[in-house]
Amino acid sequence: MSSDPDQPLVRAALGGDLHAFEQLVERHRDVVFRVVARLVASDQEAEDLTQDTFLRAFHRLERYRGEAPFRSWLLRIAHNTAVTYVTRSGRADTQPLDAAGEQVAGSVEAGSPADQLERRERRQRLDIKLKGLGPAHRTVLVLRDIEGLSYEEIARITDAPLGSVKGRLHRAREEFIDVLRNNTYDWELPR
Amino acid sequence: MTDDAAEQLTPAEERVRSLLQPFGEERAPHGTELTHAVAHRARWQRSVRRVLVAVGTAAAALGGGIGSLVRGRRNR
Repeated sequence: MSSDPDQPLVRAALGGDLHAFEQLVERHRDVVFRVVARLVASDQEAEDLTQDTFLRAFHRLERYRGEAPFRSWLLRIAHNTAVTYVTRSGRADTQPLDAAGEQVAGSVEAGSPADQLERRERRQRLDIKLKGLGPAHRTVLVLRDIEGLSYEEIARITDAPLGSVKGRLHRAREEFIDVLRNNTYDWELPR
Repeated sequence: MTDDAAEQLTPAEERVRSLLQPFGEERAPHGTELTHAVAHRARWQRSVRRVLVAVGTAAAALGGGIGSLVRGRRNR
């Protein structure tokens, strides 16, 4: 895919340029972290799995054919790494992040301290609710409604047919709406 | 998003999307350290891999040489 801005760096990394690979890590570490973090229980696990994802990508770079954007290929590795980890470890992945507060503090926030605190608490509550969904539903919600990826990219990342992705996303949103409507906290969901 | 135009969201789905969007602002904690750690491990693992490949190649060559010698003796 010639329009993929990562291609020059990928080619340089394939030629042995580790600095180019480091730039790819710099460019994609946040999205990898966000996708993985929604699937595992803790911040620390998400950081470890983010590192593992990039190392796997580094060693498999020769297998990357450039048919899909590098980001899709990388997120597919991230998704598989996180799902395998959750399956093998048997760790409950439906808990909120241990350091959700710290993590949110790392993002760009504006407003008074009281506003920031309120937003942070709201996000933590939402994170708990999101983690109550099954991994498959959570993944499509994250990839579509948080990361804004296309159906095609989501299908590639989750290795699922396009039709399944659309159906799964519809069911995931329905389930999440249902969860939020049955919550004592008012999420201001229109009927 | 390439297919946004085709997606008709209900008001509740729109609300869910707007609620979730702030998660997209999150950054990996210790991002710079994470990048350096990956680069360090990649460099180290590549060195180890090169050594292992070199050892493997040498072992294969040695094995091949010994095999040729043994076969040569048997054929005599």
